[in-house]
Amino acid sequence: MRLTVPIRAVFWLEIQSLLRDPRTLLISVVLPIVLIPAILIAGNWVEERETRAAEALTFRLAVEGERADLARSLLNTQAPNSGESLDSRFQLVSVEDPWEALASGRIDVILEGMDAEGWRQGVRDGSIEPGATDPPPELEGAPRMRLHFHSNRTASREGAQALRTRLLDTREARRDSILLAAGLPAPPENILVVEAVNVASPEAMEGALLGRFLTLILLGLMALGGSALATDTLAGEKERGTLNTLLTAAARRQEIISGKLLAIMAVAFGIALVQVLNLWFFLGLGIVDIGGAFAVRVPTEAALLLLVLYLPAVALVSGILLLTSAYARSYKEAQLYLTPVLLGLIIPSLAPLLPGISLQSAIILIPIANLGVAVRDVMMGDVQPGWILGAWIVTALAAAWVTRRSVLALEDENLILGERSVEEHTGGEGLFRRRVVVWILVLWAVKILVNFNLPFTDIRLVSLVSVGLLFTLFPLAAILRFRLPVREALALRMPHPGVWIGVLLGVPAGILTVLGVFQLVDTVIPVPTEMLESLGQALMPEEIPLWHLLIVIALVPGIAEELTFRGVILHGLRRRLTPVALALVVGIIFGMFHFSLFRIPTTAVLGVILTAVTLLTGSIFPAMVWHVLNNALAVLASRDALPGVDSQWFAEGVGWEWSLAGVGLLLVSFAIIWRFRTPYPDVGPPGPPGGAMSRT
Amino acid sequence: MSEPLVRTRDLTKVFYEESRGEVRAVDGVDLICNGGEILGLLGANGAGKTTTLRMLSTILRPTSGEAWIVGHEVRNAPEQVRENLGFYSASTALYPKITARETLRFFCRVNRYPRGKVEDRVEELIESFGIRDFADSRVEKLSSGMKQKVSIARTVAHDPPVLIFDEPTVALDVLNAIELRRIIERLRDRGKAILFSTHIMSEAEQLCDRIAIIHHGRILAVGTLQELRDTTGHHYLEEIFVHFARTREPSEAQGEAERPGETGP
Amino acid sequence: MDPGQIWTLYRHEIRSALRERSIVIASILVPLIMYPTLLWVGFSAVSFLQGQAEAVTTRVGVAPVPELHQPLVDSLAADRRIQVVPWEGPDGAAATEIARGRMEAWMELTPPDQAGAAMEGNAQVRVLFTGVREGSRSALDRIEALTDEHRNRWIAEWRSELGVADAVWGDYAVVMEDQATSEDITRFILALLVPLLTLIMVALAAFYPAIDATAGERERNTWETLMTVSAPRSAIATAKYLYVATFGAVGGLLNLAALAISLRWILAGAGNGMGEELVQGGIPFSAIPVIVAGTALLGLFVAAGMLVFAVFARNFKEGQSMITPFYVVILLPALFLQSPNLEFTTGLAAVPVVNVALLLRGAILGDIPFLAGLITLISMAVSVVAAVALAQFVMRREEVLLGTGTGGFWGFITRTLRGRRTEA
Repeated sequence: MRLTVPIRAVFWLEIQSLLRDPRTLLISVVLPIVLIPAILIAGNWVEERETRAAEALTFRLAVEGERADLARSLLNTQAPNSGESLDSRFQLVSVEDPWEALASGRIDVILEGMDAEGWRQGVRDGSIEPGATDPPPELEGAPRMRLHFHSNRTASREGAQALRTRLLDTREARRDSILLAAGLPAPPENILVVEAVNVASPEAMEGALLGRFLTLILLGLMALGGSALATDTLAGEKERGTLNTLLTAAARRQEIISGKLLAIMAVAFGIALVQVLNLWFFLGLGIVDIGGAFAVRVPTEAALLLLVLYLPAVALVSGILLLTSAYARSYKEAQLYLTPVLLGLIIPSLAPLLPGISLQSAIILIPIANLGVAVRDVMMGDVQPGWILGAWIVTALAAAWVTRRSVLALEDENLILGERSVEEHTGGEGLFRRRVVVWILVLWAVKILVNFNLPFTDIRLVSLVSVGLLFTLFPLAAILRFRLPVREALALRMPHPGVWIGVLLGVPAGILTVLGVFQLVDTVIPVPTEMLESLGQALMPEEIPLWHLLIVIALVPGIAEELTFRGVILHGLRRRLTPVALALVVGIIFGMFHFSLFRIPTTAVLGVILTAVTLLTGSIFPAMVWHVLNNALAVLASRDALPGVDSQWFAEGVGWEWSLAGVGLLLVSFAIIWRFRTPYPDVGPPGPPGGAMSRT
Repeated sequence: MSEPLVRTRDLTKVFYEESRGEVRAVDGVDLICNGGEILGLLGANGAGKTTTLRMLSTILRPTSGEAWIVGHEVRNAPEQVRENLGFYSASTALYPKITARETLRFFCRVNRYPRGKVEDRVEELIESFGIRDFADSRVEKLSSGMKQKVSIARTVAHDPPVLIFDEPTVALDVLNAIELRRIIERLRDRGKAILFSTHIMSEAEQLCDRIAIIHHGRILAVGTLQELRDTTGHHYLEEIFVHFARTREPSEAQGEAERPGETGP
Repeated sequence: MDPGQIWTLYRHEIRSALRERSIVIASILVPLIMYPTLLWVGFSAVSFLQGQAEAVTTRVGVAPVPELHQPLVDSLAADRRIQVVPWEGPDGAAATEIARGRMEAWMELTPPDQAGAAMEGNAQVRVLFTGVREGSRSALDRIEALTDEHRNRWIAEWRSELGVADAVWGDYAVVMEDQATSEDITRFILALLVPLLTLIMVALAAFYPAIDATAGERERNTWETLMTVSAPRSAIATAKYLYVATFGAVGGLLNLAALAISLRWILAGAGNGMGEELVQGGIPFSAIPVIVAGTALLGLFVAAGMLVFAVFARNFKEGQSMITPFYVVILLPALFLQSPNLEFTTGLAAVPVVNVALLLRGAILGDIPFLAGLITLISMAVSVVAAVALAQFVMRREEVLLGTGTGGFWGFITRTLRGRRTEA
């Protein structure tokens, strides 16, 4: 790309305007400069205070029980490591009723010495609850030292921990001396000593630590800094009317966007740099101490590599901010979208913090997250050029795509004019088409909350509420709220009878296809076996009668989910996309409602198939029948109730040849449906393309 | 005579609204405007004036039909069109944080004015529009009259042959409006082709060489004031306008009624 | 002031706010969708990692070991996530293999130190690993744990040979008896989280309404319309104030509720065993009135503070930059509230905002010192009245009414102090 005169003119205009806006500078530069060290200092202060408080903590201790003598003598023996007698932090107190004192917080810990016999007696009469704290079998007959404490009180928790360590150390020392006295040739601590040698250099260790946080810190600072300019630039210009002026200038849209993008990148970069220097300054002065992470010296080549690596990430972040601004009609709107957008940008940069994440996984497909992991790898000295290049390209492509969207947004007349439509006031179907996306999002959120808050004990209850009820109420609410025509909204039309042949053929073909997809996905995103087993168990538990399962897993979802997805959602989205895009999008939305990462792709494929059937037949009924049969077959197969079908297929997949055969059969089924098609009416965006769409 | 600087043929813009369906905001407009001429676009609010001018300035894309600015078609060569065009309206604001001089420099550069000549051009504009006194003050600190001068100066910054003024006087007081009209006349005398839209009859009468009456997206009549008087027999532009609007009203209604039939046979 | 008039104005403000798209999005839609989305992202990341971890087998190189210690290698090989590869070679080569990630760790047996040499067959277990990779560190952990087991078995054999009885050697058992119920622990966690979140949520929920009630009116050109109605300015100011306070408090509570529903699941330990107990109980019913009252107090205070700053703004952008510093100051106490040991002393009870947070904490833990609680109420009442008085004073000034003043709140203060030259 060449830096043409208009690009540079737009760039400097942005920078100049920002520099002359003291209030924005104050908020986005000065405030963070003061605030970040302030937060660190305060955080440090709180932490130090905590540590000091913890050190100054004294533990009030009472000794009780039939073996109180043993307990006291253990407390008085010298500590094996420090050689001290009882830690000065412990304060032996004698109180009237120690149990009451412990409950009311006047003492922190009770050490109760007890014989094995007393213990067993206690378990028998129920005063002692046996549990995870039972001693190991070889200590069956040994006396017990029971530490009573309250884990929600700091002094009590810490005291009990310290005392436990102390008692275990003492026991260790006593055991060793017994063994040595009996004639063990060497002290136990010298037997089979593990000598761990860390082959990583100290720099690599520090780099690995910093590398985890670097992306989060840098991108977070950049996003915050860039947003100050981004919200003001397109959205603010619409509000002030300067966008119209700019758009009638001879500069290309691409040039305007490039100039603005470069300005945002420069500001983001500049502010991040200032903040990093600021942090460095405070760390250098020793005012703030957050460990050695920032002391890492990055060699020049590595620093250059990091810079190159971060370039597409910065471009993507800036591009997303600019795009947000392009879609907003005013500064205020842009500001509103900013919180979720910033959050969305921060989340992928958390990826390198995940333990055990490797670039050689599906993570390489997620922009920003992949570069975060790549940067971490580089910082710990593990450079894999091919994979890093792959990550770089993915993020760069995403940045290019986002920039392209911003250019298109400048050509979108509705966005430029920022005019509100009449539907806001008149309501009805047009308004539903506008609001359908928000409705889908809300439904998704509600479904998550319902799913995670329902006691996952009985699949029948879960399915009836979170599927049956929810997906029936949703279309009902939409129809009532927007006064939608019921027959059209739910596509309650009769298809051509020939279609049913295609459906019957398609169901088994669809299952084979989906199984193939599942195998394919498993190679990219491996499914944890534990999760697969628990899912199977949860979905189709052994103890529920088969006909119950057929109702709650096949019949109810088949009807309710179709009413929602192929009913009102398809109806609401139909004018926004071309038929092919519509099938894909509704399918993916359907997949997203299955939440689990491993079920999304497979259910999305099923969703695409069902949407395609609905679009071809103009009717919801074939999709309903297909869905019910599909789920019923899966239930029957899992119970080994189908001759010639092995339930293991669903865990391990079928062979490739079966899946391919399934795909082939599916094509045949669709050919039949195509032959008898009665397409869904009124699909596709109304166009500037010459008003060519049918208005029948 | 050579090719006119501005020409449109059957220019049409259809907006799609969810509830009302298609709305033909501009419907088959044919216009011509030559150098050294002010063509007035006269119409009520919502008649399609702004939409027409926005299509000419490439902010909006025509649904069908064509428009040429200095031989460049608006859809095929939007950049060349904008290079040859200055657009001024009540909605084209200035950047508040930069000075008048910087504003002019910015618009020269962003409009691809020859690089070496930018500074001279800026000086020339400052001189001829009387901006000298406040050339180095920030735009946000200027009075509305000063802003207007800067705004016109930036419209002609890159010396385009075609100028579009979309209801420029709508928010101005009388003195500023008169000043603006004088400037526009001066620009005409320098050979610019000027499109000027307004809903104020007297303004059109005084300023425009030719007047196009636009109503419901259609051009009802085009001609000099005298020609319009001759065709209608009315003297005042207001009467002329009402005459055309009235006579077209029934046929409009008829057209609406006929529309379903159009798809028939 | 006529309460009926205020009520009319107040209802008008609330109604317009509920019809304002941006406010509905900010205070209802975003929390409703955001928390579940975050929840889902976390859930997906966990299951993704789990799948990854299962798909990856850790390669551990092992140099040949004597027969005596073969069980150690066998136990390592028995772990299905570990793949044992025989690997003999110089240190350097092994280190390179590990650094390149082709092997996570390398284990060999070397001669024991002097003290250990007395025992025949004794050795040192030398492990090469790299601290930068989790896989390598967990391989080391695994080897250490298995070595412990192997050592214990070996010593146990010696013990029976030497004739040391189990009972003598065993000595005594140490048993931890946590008296705290799972409800106590839940409350402990909630007492840390809820006050902090309430504070953030109230400030967040009041932010947009505060700007909307002032700068928003100016942007929409309705400010002057409102100022020319017959109601006294103080009634208008009061109605606006109550509207912002209502949104702050109600929006804050809604957010809190939405978050609580999402958090339940996280507190449940993502469905694994230990978490089941954690969610028992929750916020005690007795604390709910205190939380509601505390939220209302916070709402009243935050609304007054924000209005004082926002009233100078001529547009949304200005309003935002004017409020932000106040917003930051309000949130600063959050830093100190992370400390569970912060006590609700009478001194802290006099500090606005902090005291309400501590009051909420006390309510959840079921322990509010009477005097501190009383001082909190007095301190908050005084600061709310002071803030409202300031807001009223500011709104009566002409420059504020006309929006002609420059420099925001501080400009106003300096001008007022310098001699009230505020004629427009």
